[in-house]
This record gives sequence, C-alpha cells and structure tokens, in this order.
Amino acid sequence: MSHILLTEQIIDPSIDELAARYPLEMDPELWRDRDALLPRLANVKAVLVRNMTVVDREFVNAAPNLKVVGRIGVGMDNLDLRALSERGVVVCYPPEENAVSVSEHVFAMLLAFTRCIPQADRSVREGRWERARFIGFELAGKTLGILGLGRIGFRVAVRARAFGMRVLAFDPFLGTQHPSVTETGTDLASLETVLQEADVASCHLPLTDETRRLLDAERLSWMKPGAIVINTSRGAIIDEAALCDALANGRLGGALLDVREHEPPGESPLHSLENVLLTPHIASWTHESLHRVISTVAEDVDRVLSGLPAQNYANFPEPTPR
Amino acid sequence: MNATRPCRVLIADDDPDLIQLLRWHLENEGYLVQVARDGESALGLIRNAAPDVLILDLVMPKLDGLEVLKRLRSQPETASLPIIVLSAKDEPDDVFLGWQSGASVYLTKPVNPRELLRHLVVLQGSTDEVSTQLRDGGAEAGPLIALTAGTMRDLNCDVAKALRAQEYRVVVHPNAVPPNRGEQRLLLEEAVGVIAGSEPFTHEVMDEAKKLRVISRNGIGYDAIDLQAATELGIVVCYTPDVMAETVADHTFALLLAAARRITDLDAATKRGEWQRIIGSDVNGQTLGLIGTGRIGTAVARRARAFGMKLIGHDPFPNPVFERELGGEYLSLEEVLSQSDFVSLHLPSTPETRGMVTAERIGMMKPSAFLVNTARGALIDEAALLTALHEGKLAGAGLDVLSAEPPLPGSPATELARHPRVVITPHVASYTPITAARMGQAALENMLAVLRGTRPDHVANPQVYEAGLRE
Repeated sequence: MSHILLTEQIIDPSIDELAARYPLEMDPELWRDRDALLPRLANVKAVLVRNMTVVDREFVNAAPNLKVVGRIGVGMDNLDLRALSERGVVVCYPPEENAVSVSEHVFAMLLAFTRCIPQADRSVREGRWERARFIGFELAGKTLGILGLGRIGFRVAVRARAFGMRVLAFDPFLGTQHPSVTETGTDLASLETVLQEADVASCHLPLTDETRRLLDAERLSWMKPGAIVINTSRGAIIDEAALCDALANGRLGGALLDVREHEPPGESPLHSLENVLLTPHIASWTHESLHRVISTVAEDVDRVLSGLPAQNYANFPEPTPR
Repeated sequence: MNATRPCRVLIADDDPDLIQLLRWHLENEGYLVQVARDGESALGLIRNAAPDVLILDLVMPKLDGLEVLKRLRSQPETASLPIIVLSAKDEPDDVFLGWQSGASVYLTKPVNPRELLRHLVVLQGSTDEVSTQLRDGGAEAGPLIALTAGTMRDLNCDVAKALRAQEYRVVVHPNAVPPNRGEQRLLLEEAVGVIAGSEPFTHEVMDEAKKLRVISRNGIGYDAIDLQAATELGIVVCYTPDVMAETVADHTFALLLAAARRITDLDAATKRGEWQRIIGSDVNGQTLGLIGTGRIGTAVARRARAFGMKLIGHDPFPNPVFERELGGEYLSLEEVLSQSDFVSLHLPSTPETRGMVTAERIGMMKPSAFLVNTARGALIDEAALLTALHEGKLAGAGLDVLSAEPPLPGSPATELARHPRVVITPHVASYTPITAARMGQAALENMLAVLRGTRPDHVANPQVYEAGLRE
C-alpha cells in the first residue's frame, strides 16, 4: 500500500525523489472515478492533487491515516479546508511559485488582444496584408482594474505600470499602506468604482461563496462600454452566459479567458465570437512554474511525513467566538 | 463623397443571386447601385458614370477581374478608385495576386454583406471626396499632395482635410499595399509633396516627379529612399522619429509574449473546442538581448525590467539611459546573441545593417531562444532564419516586418510567415489610432514646413540645404 497517492497527472524530478523515499503511486485519471478513489485512501498518508480532485469531508473520512494534502496550485475551491483542519491534515501549497507565470500570461493575452495578434497572424498566413484591419490600441494611459491585489494581482500591477497604465484595485483585505498598494502606485477603490472606471478589468480572486458569480449581469453592466474583462483565476467568478450576452451585443469590448465555468467547456457560444481570446487554463503552465510549484509542494510533503512543520500551508485556525 | 450626393457603387459580377443580395443590402443603406455583368461593360460604366466605389468579381466573362483591376490602376483617372475585390479563390498566392494588382480590399466568397458594408464605410470616409475631386478634374488648381502612407487611407482622414483647407489638392493611394511603380508614377506626376509609406523612392522615381519638393516619411525608417539622389535633386526627406516608441514597444512585447506562450495556437485550438494545455516559457529571469538601444529599444527595456528580465544590449552608439536607468549591460553582438533567451531588433536598415542577422549569427543563438523583429525585414537573412526554425535551432520568432511586404510567393519570407513557430503581423507595430494621429500630424507639419520654406525638425538629408532645394 502506498504512502503517497497522486490522483492527477503530476510529473517532475522532485516527484521521482519522493518516490525514491516513500511508496508512491500516480493514477492520473483517478480523480474522475469517485468509487475507485475512496477505497484507495484507507492507508494513504499523503495525497497530491491539482484542481480536479474533490477533497471533501467524505474524502477525508475515507482517509483515516491522511497527514498531508499537497495542492499543486493556489486555488482551494476543490478542498474542504475546514474538514481537513478539523482532522489535523496539513494542506501544503505553493503560494508564490506560479504568480509570475500567471501575471505574464495576463499580459500575453492582453497585448495579443489589443494588437489583434491571432487575427493578424491568421491573415498574413492566408496571404493577405491587411494593415488597416488590425489597428490596435495602446495600453498607455488606460486604467487597469485589478480585482484581488494578492500575490498575482500585485505582479500584474507592477507590469501594468511599466506600460504606462493607471492601476486601480479592489481588495477588501488590504489597507492603503500594504506594500502591494504603496509600491505599485495602485489606488484602492470599491468594486463598483473599479468596474466603472476600468478600461481593462482583471480577476485575481480565489473562488469562495462570496466570489462565485461576483461578475454577474448587473456588475458587468457597471463596466464602461467597450471595456475588456480578463479572467485567469476561476471561471465560476464570472457568469459566463451574462458575459457572452454583453459581448455579443457589443456592450463589452472583449473577454480574455483562461478559465471557464466548465473545463473543458465543450461547445460554447463564446467560441464563435470575434472579441474573445481563449486559452485552456494554462496561465501557470510554463516549464519554470510547473517545476517550482511541484517541487515546493513535494518538499513540504516530505517535511510533514518526516515530522517537520510545512513551510507553506493553507490551514488557518478558525476563530472561535467566546 | 459629399453629404448631398449618395455614394455610387458599381457591382461588376456575373452571378445574379449575389448581385441581388448585395444590391438589397447596399440600397437599404442608401447607396446608389449600378451593375455590370462582365469586365468590358464594367470598364465602360466606370468611364461614363464614374462610380465612387467598385465591387469587382475576379471571374467574369469577356474580360476577367484581374485584367480590369490592372487596367484601372494604370489610368490616372482610376488609379485611386477604391476597389473591393470579390473572389472564390482563397489560396494565399491568389489573394496575394489580388492585393498586388491593386485591390483596396480583397474579400473571399461567400461574401458576408455586413463585412462588405463595413469596408465601404472605411473606404468612403478615407477617400472623402478627394479621389472623386481628382477624377472630376480638380476644379481648384492648387498644388497637389500625394498621401501614400498606409494609415492615410484609414486613420488620417483629417490630414487630407487639413491640406484641402489650405488650398492643396490631395490624392490618396487607396490600396491596402504600397503603390507599385506604375501607381507611384501616377500619384507623383503632379505632386509637390508626398506623405509616404515604405515604397521605394529611387533616383528614377524622384527624377520623373519633376515638381516634387519634399518626401515626408510617415514613420521612422527612410531606408527605401535614395537619400543621395534626393539631395542631388534638391528634394528634402523628413521623418517622424519621436512619436512611435511606446506603441512599437507594446507590440514588440505582444509578439514576444505571444511566441513564448503560444497564444495564437492556443486561442485557435480552444475556439475549435479543444482543451490542449501546451506548456509555455516564462520571461521572468530570462535574458533579453536588444540589438539597438535607441528610443524603441529602451522603451522595450523598460517593459522587460518590470517583467524581471535581465537586460543586455549591443549598440555602436551606447545610450546612457539603457545602462544607468535600466541597468542594462552593453556587450559585443556575438555575446548578446549567444547569451540571450530573447533577441529583439531595434535598429534602422542601412547598408551596414542589411542582412546582419546571418546564418552564422543565428547559429550563435541558443536553440531555446526567440527572435523578435519589429524593425525592418531586411535586417535578417530570411532563408537562414527559416532553416534554423525548420531544424529546431531556434525556438520561434515574432515578426512584424519582412524583406518584402507583402511577401513574394515562393520566397523565404512567405514560408516564414506560414511557419508554425512564427507569430506574424503585417507591419502594424505602430498602427494604433493615437500614434497614427500623432505620426500623421508630425509628417504633415514636416511637409508643410518645407513647402513654406522653413526647416522641419527631422531631416534625413540635411546636406540638401547646402546643395540647394528644388524650386
């Protein structure tokens, strides 16, 4: 019986090193089959998951020997943190390790969109030379609205400033003297103000009960006509049908989406819209980031199994009212 | 087209269903529609009825559309008539031939009437009476200005207006590609000044244009102009270096990030319904090598620094901003090429720099490296770049410029444009409304300064003032 179980595809030299020290098994499709998954947990001490495996109370109850969950990524929406904390299971994750890649992808998408790169590339390949069709617009002087000025939002703000953008951010957890605010020249504002003033709004929020469908039809309608929405966080933060309507009727200028309500999305009306740029949840998928993310978590899993405290963990004691 | 007279559109096509469909859409929008069912009657109607816009099918009885196109472009009266070409042929080489023969717009069948209407609006707004006025005889006999730069048709309608307000006559080159030799001859025959794109100005061209006093480049590069000949003939050449650095730097980063993150492939695959998670490359911590650290190179460096890239550069004229403000390090060309993960070119095309990115120098680059070019296509040995990409000796390239634009069929440039590891755009790094407006304004001011007898800010051939100006 394995001590460590990987329920999704997780490949890196650091996993090989773990496998050299502990009995380890990877079953990349196991997350799909709940009935097969639960019995496999009985003797497992560590589980490594990406964002597809649902680690809920039932999962935790089926794993009485579980000491640590290694989450390869930063979203905790597939984990019941409370259930894990109650049972003393440490949740390790890589807090900083993919933030650079995601912030770069935000600009890769934004610049590709504002300068018509996919359409222009296709046109030249087809033998055309249609300069007038690909008149872009500049980022300088435009307002970037960041929803969630955390580790990723902060890095997006730093880059935006180098392009001469004004940066506004909504983040209820930050004060005006937080370094993410002061060191980026960002102005904090209410969600309403950020959405109303942004030429480009970029989501960098965790998916929680409060953020689910945060950008619904009404809030999308607060945005300027022609404004652009970027989402590299979680698809469920935006009401995709409402977004699609706002794009199809030309009220919004564009949507640049790396994440979707359903992944893979299958057929979608978004796929045939001109003012949409889509990537398949790869904002953090660079060789550099994948290695950093996996090796950071693997190291912490090793530490917890060896009786040492994890260096990066997502469990926080719930405050108990007196 | 003035407000009192509806725009007259001639449809030259032999497909009755398509004619009916287009007629319905156009008449609904207030256009006056005439129809010719073969090439010969199209030419006749154009002579007699002088339409404002021609919609031309390429496959027609008697005289085919390409021939009609070529004949129209060789006549002064119709050299600048806006022509929308319709064709069932969508092979790249066919489309190229259409552009090259003088199409203002090339649309492939089946035609989307709404797209056609959008193009009509653009063509109408841009030519704005001027070509009609020329064809009608140009009643006022003011001096003639030719506007041949690409943005003049679509983005700088106000330049033509400003000139006309000052009693100049104006002719706008209506095509999507720069004027060919014949078109250039027609456009410049009477012109005293030209706001020019990237078309060549040889000794012969300038000698034939007897009245030409100023070539005002709408842009930063004057490599297509024979400066020595211009000086000999007394023609002032000016250019607009100050207005485009930031937007070109944005586009450079757009290409760099698109190449590193495979944006074009991912977007296309995801829209096809696939969910193919290709792994990209970070730029953070990587080395950016800038060949050329002038206005544009340093604007790129500023962005790269915010992305946490290491900056190295090569420039025979070191820029203190690059070293002191941006923390860049100057190295030899060979060192820059061999140490960089991304190489970006920001230098003019001159006899010294032409072809400088040779097979040997590409060979010095890391196999994992990307080459970005928003400067001039002539800097790169395109056949060598193509070979390096084929053989996997380079990870990819982001190109906005080619040695010939549009690229000639069968040339290495055409192969490059279709290579899977290339992200390509049609020389649009400075194509944004704000920059186009600033550039057009600067080019206009430069030209007017020369015509008024004062000296503009940026003259490419200052020696002309000693040699003597054309009267």
